[in-house]
Amino acid sequence: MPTQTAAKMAGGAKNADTNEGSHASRDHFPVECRSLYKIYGKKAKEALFAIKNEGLNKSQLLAHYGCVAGVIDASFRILPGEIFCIMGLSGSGKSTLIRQINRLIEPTAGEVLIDGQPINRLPSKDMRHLRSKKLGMVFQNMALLPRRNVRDNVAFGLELRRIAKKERYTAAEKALGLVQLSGWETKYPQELSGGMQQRVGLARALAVDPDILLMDEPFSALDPLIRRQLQKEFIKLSELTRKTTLFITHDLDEAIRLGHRIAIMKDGVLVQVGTPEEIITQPNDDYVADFVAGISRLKLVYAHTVMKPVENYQPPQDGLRLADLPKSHPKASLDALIDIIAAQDKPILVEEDNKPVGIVTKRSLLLGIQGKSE
Amino acid sequence: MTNPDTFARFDAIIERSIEKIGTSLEGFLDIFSAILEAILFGVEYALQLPHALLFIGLLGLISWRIVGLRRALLFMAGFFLCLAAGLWEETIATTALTLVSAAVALMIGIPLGILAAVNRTADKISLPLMDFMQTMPPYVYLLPGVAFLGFGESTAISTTTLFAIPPALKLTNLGIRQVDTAQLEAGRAFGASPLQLLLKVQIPGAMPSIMAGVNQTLMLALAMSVIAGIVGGGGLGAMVYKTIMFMDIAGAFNAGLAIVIIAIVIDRLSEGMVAKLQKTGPEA
Repeated sequence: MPTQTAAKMAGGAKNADTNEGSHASRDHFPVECRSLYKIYGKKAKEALFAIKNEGLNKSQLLAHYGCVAGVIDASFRILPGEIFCIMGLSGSGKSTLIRQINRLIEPTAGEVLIDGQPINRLPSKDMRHLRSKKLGMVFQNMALLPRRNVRDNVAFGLELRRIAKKERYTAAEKALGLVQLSGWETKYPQELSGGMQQRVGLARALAVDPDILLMDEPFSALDPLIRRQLQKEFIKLSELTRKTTLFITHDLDEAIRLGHRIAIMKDGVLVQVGTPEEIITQPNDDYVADFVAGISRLKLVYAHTVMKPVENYQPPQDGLRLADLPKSHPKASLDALIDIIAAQDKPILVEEDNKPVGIVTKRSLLLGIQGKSE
Repeated sequence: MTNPDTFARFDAIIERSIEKIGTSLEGFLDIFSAILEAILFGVEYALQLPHALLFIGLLGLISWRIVGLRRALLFMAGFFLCLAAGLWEETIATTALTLVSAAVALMIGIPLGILAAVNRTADKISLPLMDFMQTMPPYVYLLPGVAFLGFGESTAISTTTLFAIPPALKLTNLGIRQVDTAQLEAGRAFGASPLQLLLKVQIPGAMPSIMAGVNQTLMLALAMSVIAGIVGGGGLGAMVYKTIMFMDIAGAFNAGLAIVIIAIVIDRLSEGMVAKLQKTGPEA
């Protein structure tokens, strides 16, 4: 099962990169986008040509062709079991992008592959089949059907597949159990709070047991406390089910909290794709840098980013030897490093496989928290 | 400058085409109206089968379930008033005419409304046609009816049915078009075919609007069934028409009051059923 590899890589940047490389050669990705475009307007074709050849940006396109670019040249691959967040402000094209994955919106150009299968030219019947079996979707505004009770809402996808009532109710109850809504089967959506409605929305997507979850700002409409709670539950659920997830959000905190990798989207373009740590420590441009400026780095930046080579370490006068230093590992967060330094007031030796790979001093740690390098 | 010749020609065209429609559709219209008439007589007979007091009692019981005790008592009092005024047969006849023509109007209007909601051409045709039908004075419907079907119950029920179609059609169409796009998107995202989308998302979502159409259709059918008294429809319509001819103010008022009572009962009952449906939702 490729999911296990994915689980292993999920935490770290470097692992992700190497795994992606090896996957490409021998296996399929659950979701892959190749140079996707979506351009709205009468002159979409000409605009597409211009954008590809002259590299116009969104506002130039509007000025010259009267076309609105939703998505420009989006390419990415999502690994099995990965939560891939696309973060962008409203109008950045992220909702358009996620709808191109299940072809609720047809791309102007480019290709979408689900499990290695190109889907753009699938006949509508096959496309419906693919949606109902492999792709579960959760919406910002829940989009539950008001005249169905919770159970029938959750069983909706299976009902469309003409699964027998008994079987689909069993699946619905199981899915409701996963989102902790057992016992609410016969209530109607209007009788539920926003947070509960969205759990129903999630259960509806889970009930069809899809390989891939498409989540379009599922928690954005909820108040902050409920949002945090649902995020936590979703992380747990995701660890349990290991569903490959494309998660759209306008909230960087949310993206960092949930995403194994994050893509930052601006004016239809994916400006940076990387792990939360990469995004924070090596922002591609000022736009991303501005975004991440306010983010607390304590839990997102790790020892390997702030450590210095062991050779450069000069013991203070009282002659501390390396062996006397407290030890940690490259994946220890700044938060954990602070705990160590606060307790012992000594530099930290970073070891990997019992070999010293670097030193974190008080100075390098403080600068690391600020996001500055020496 | 008006040219009388042009108008004469226009009039002739209208007359000739109506005649032509009449002759070419004669067989169909005869069968259609015969069926309607048969249903009407059946329903009227059934409604008159129980004793008036038993009928009022049953009405009260049903109303109690749907709109509560207070209104049920009010409805019973109203129908009892009709009975006391010696208008029982007429009241039942008008009720039957209203219910049957409304039911047939719904059976025609709702499917056509669904068609208009999903088919652009059907929508383009139905919109002006419905506007035309709704703004045309109701009396004008009666003449072609008389021309095709003659004077009598069959004309009354046919014109009443025709007159009551537009609200059912329009509100069904509107309701389906107004279903939240997010719900449609959810349907599509889970792999619904166009037909599944219609049956499982659009029509259920349009139910409040469709139900408003049912209510409107009932009300229009009642209004038209009274007017149809002129062309030989029985019941309170004929009564009103007769009393007007004889300047019988008291009689006209009695018949008018009975019509108001029927209107209130039908309106509140149908509204109550809709409200009940909406509160609990359909049975799973």
